[in-house]
Amino acid sequence: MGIPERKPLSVEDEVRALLEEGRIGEAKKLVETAGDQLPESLREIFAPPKIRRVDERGVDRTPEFNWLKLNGPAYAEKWVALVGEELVACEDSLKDLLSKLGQRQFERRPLVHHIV
Amino acid sequence: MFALSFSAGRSKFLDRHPRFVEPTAKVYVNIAFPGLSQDWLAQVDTGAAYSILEQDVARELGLFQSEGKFTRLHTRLGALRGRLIRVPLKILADEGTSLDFEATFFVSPDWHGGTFLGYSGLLDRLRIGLDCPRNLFYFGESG
Repeated sequence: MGIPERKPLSVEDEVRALLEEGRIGEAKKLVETAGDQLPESLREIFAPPKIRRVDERGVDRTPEFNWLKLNGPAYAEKWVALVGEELVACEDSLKDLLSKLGQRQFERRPLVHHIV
Repeated sequence: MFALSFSAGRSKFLDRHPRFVEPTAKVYVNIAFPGLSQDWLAQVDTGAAYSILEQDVARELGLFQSEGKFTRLHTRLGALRGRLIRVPLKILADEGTSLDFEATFFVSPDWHGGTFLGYSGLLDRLRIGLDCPRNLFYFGESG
């Protein structure tokens, strides 16, 4: 009885195998050379990010960062929402935190972080 | 003047892990997602091959309802099953202009870490620079 022939991997499977091994650069090169042999969904994953400048500004988060440095360890595993150095909400789940935030208005957008 | 031409914007960054005392500094920057009216922190990690989205945030963005093949990727928490998904987001500038993005993230219900901006497909398309004494993160699109 002969050794059964191994079915060659499709290009898509090869790409996924490379990804699994963490060989992202090689996966990317293979996608570039394979072109139409790959489904659009996979090509899109490796497409360069679409980047554009937007006239929208954040705020200096130094007060929030100070709070996190000082109090972060005491809030381990919690979701926190900060406005300046004020903790405006703290919950075990993001869903509950967002629900609480939705009922309130703030002078600036809260900074949300999961202390993990 | 040089910094202005190098980057589109800059923002303050958080330079340490908010929970653990770690021997190395970190770089957490402000980001925003369309559809969510808060700002969020993401860790810039040039050592991470790809970007990862925190699972609860992915859930809020409705990304677990996406279709597409699962991929297994090796993360610092072991091999995880998830999907590679294009996610829109903004890197927020305190000064200058923010950047609007659509980049590929690994999204897995088994990932219990935070959000990481990784090298491939995201940071490798940006100009970034740090002013460490002042905790300033400079960023701009490449080319």
